[in-house]
Amino acid sequence: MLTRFVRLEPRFGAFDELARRLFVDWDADVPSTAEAFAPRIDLREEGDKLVLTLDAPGVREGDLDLEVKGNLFTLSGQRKLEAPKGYTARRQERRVLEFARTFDLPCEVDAARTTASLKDGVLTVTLPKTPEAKPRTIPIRAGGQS
Amino acid sequence: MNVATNVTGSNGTHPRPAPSAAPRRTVVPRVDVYENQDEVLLFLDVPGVAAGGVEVELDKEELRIRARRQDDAPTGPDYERAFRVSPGIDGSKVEAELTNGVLRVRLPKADALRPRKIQVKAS
Repeated sequence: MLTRFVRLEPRFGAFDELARRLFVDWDADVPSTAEAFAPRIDLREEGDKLVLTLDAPGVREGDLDLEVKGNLFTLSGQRKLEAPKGYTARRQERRVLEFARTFDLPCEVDAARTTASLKDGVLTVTLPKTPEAKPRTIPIRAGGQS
Repeated sequence: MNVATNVTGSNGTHPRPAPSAAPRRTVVPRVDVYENQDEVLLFLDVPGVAAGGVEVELDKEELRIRARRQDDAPTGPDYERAFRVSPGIDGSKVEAELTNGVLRVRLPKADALRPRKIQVKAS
């Protein structure tokens, strides 16, 4: 029996070579892989509410899940990347994002009044504190000899 | 040749909020590059940037993209990245579009670079 090995090697013709050189990166200082899988998140306290912002470029509303339970806030989501049809990929740095994080909030928040909005690829979640969690002013009575 | 491209998007311009205490840092956005015989397509992740905050400039062989964040995320960065493109890109036809924090830039190839089909005439 005769077995033939056919080596498949990528061959670049003149046009292909030109095409590859058509696009050369100027500065290839790319963020680390770790950053790609953990999207940037800010959580801050603004008076009687907590505000969370998450960078979620290309994520659609339907791809996000939020859950509030007491002082636990869970956020999960994903984005899919679809390559345009009929194109050859020359560089692929963007990643499929998939994340799930639970935050142990510093206080209880009101799940019913929690709101979320997605704008320009940024998710903003506003978590109002429950009345019990808000700071209370305790009046000091003048005491003593009254 | 110096071409500044207007970016179309879902939002018009809106003012940047008052500057916070710390200046924003600038990062290099991640990019996907695709190509077919007619054009080169770029996709850049620029969350927090609205249409008014994007500047795409092609100067000779340098394509420079700057995107300024306009939301109030305290630690969110601005974005800047430059590429070298061959003279084969038609600078007058560069287009950019912003959707959900993803910037898409179209760089059409000049006619001379496109492969041409030669019709064979029946004699």
